[in-house]
Amino acid sequence: MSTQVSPQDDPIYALRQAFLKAAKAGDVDALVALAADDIICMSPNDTTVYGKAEYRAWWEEYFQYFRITAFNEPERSVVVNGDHATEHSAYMIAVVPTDGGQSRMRDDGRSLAIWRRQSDGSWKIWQMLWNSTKPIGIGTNRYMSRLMQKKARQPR
Amino acid sequence: MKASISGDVDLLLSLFTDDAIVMPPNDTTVFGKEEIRSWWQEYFSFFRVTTSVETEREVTYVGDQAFDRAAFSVTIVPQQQGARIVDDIRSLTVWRLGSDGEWRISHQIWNSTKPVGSGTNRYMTRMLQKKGVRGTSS
Repeated sequence: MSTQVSPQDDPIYALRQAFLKAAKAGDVDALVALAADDIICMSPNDTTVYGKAEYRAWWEEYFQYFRITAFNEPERSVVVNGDHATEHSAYMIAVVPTDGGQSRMRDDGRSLAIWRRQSDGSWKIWQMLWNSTKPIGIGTNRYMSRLMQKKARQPR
Repeated sequence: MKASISGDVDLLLSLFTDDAIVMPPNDTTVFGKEEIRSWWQEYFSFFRVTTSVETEREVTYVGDQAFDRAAFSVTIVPQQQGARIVDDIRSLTVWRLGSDGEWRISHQIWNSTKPVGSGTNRYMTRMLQKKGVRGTSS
């Protein structure tokens, strides 16, 4: 039976904090450690990422281009249902391009993550999708768009 | 999906729980049925969804919840003027089984796989800019 849990009964609160900390530190190993083997990650304006190896590659590429300097979640709710937890959160993020050619960018978004308890008892992110609340052309969208266009022009 | 094509707001609303959380891209979070109603009403005042084809779907049933991950291609036509827009969307939807035996959406979020500046993003941006100029805050 699914039940909304209070912050003190939330089994994934500490793990979410670890996720935010790892993202700010650019720590790919720590981020991947929070993912289920069969993770499916759906980042905006990008293709779907299936499984841990692709998830690792996605973060490695992200940190080539960006450093996350602030990442907070002012809003969050969690529904626990046996071995599954549905986590909705709103986040505020600031990122700095690693090439130094652009100033700090601010963005606000929401994320929906389904966490799944594994056979060893640990909770891992199983499915995750997020988006921005900002109109197109501001926030990180603007830069991401230019980056994608650049990537498309460069044969890999 | 059928309701979104026919623009039937009442039918759409019947698919959501009273406390549903809906997170449309590039827009604020919508909480509860009344806000969902006005969101869809506004959407259909600007757009008509002409096709919606599912390209991927996986549903996992766990007790009174169903985790529904889908990808689909949509075509929408602006009500005013402007060309037909094609977009590729992914969605993550959580359904909850009510005490009446009906499944309803408790959480829903989606985004586009297309680069910014293409797909529906392009039009939505212009629409938001227009709304800003008119000074409406909703």
